[in-house]
Amino acid sequence: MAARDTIRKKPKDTKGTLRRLLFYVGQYKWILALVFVLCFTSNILALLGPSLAGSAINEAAAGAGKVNFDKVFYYTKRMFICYVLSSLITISINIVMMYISKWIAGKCGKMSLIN
Amino acid sequence: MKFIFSYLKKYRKLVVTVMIIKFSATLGELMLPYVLEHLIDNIVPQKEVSLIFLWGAVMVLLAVAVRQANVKANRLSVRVAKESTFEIRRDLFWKSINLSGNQLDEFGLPSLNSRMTSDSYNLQSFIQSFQSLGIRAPIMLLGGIFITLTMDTGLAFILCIIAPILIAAVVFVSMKGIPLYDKVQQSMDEIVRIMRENIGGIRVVKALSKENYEMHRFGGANDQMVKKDVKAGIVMALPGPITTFVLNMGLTIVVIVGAIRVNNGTTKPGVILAFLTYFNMILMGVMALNRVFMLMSKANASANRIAAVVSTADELLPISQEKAAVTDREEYIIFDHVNFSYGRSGEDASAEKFDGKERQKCLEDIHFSMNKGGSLGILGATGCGKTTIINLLMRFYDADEGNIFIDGKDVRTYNKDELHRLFGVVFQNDVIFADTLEENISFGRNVSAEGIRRAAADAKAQEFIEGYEDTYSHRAAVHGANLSGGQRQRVLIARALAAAPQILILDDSSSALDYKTDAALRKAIREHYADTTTIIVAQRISSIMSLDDIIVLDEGKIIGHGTHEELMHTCEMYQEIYQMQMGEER
Repeated sequence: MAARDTIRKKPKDTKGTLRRLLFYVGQYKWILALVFVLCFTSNILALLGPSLAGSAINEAAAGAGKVNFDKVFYYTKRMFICYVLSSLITISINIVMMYISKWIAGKCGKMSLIN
Repeated sequence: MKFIFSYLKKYRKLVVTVMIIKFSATLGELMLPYVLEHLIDNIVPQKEVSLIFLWGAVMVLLAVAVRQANVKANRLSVRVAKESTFEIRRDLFWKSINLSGNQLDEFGLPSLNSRMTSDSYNLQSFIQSFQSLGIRAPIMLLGGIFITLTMDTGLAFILCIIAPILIAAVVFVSMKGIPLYDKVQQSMDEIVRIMRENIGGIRVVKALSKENYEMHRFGGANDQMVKKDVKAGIVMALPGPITTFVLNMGLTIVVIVGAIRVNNGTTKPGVILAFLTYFNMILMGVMALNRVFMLMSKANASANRIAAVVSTADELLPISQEKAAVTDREEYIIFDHVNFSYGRSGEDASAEKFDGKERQKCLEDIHFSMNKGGSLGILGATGCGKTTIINLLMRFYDADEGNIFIDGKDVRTYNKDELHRLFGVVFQNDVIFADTLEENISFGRNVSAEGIRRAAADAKAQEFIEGYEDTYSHRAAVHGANLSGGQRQRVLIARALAAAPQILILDDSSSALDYKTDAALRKAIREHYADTTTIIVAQRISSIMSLDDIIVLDEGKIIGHGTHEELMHTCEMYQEIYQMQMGEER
């Protein structure tokens, strides 16, 4: 049974589709902007962690008997704060993004029903 | 799971290859921090730049080799996933189209639909990832722990406390996640069902201005699914960030303890650095493991659903001669005191469905026969069981009591394809496929072009088909949406006539044809298909008036049987219908 509608039609109007998708996404633009900022922050914090760790290790590498523990604790305290914040932000972002993407998918489904 | 692995058996060599490559690549990856530690603690103090370059080069080469190996393994795993899922889908499709009437009713079309699509996709994701991540993750985890233990037991001790906590957390969450995903798939079924109904019946919805109502209904089901999906998603989204945090805390502790140990002279600084990398690797390992668990739980739920269909026992197989009924009557088609109800009967009966009440019989004591080449009309109100008689004749269901014979043989002894080939049918709810009109008529039976033309002529479809520019190559849209109702019916009739069937069944197929076309069609059947045993189910008396024999059905029982003249004298309901439709007393 030859090509029963297996002629794969290329998605017409990719630009239009993209615009439509952005329209749905755009309805949440403020939340998304917030998420973007949070994501940015979370990543920066996640990067700060190893950077601070590096500084801490530098201090630790001073050699036997020469380690300045004040400095070490200075850095490790900051590392701790970074990690806590980063994790909290990531969890919030995950949950928010999940709600948004499901809502958008749901809306697309409803839209397709009306049209 | 067993279901999935049975399909992977064929690819086991490939799968093992993938696993071996992944194993080696991961080991290589584990060696990198070790080399780094060696470089920092042993080579750098030697203050020989050339040696540093040498070991640096070793690290680069190792990294490149690891990458190549990973890419190769991933490509192979994708191939295995694609090919095995193809086979799973193929078997599922084959089984789905061969289900018996009862089985189809039990599974339901939307459910079969989503099993073919989203469930099989879950399987594909899982097959792909378990070969790659499924190897990499545990190796990273275990290998990382092992190496850190050999590097510095004191520091590794911290890790040994953290790792079990992490694993326990991941496993606990995954266990909660598995049943949640099953619920998500069930909600998917509901959504597919509603979407399908609405898209199929969109004109009805619009005509009755029920758009809002349907939106509401869909919205309700959609929200249900979203809620369940979100719940499952949240549960599964927590492990990642929590894992990261716990591990990073461990890292911080390592730095502190490491500083203490360096101070005591029990450790070198390079070890702390290596530990940081290993901690990260272990972190990645745990997160990847979490992801594999997630995919595994989804895949497990999906595999069970697919296996439920594929492993369903074949029903309505031909029965042996000993079990078959025999008859010495000579008529071609015989219904011998047939009783039938939908839903299974006997031991298999779903008793809960009927609340202990007496189940209404769909057909009761149906008893009639036809000679070869004869014609039978079945008349009756909506829902009285006309189509059910056809379903039983074609053995989509088995009768509860009584027997059905075709050409002297119990209908159950026929091989399914052999039986169905006897028929040319237009169903009450028939389908035009998105294909050329020629193919819709021929329907894979390789009917010659001449045969197609003749069938179209007899079905009174030739004129409109040859009116198209591409005549028989004109493509119909899905469900024949680009044809009018009457055109659709005529193409379907042509399909039924095309393979010169022994038995022609027209189930309410002239409903969209005007009187003149209907009459011309009946004339064509009388003249060109005189030897074909014909059964016409209709609601119009005019369609069946001139047939050899007529049965009047009412709520599953035959209340009138005979020719038109006989029924006009004996059957009250027939008289009523005649008066209503023909408008005069005869």
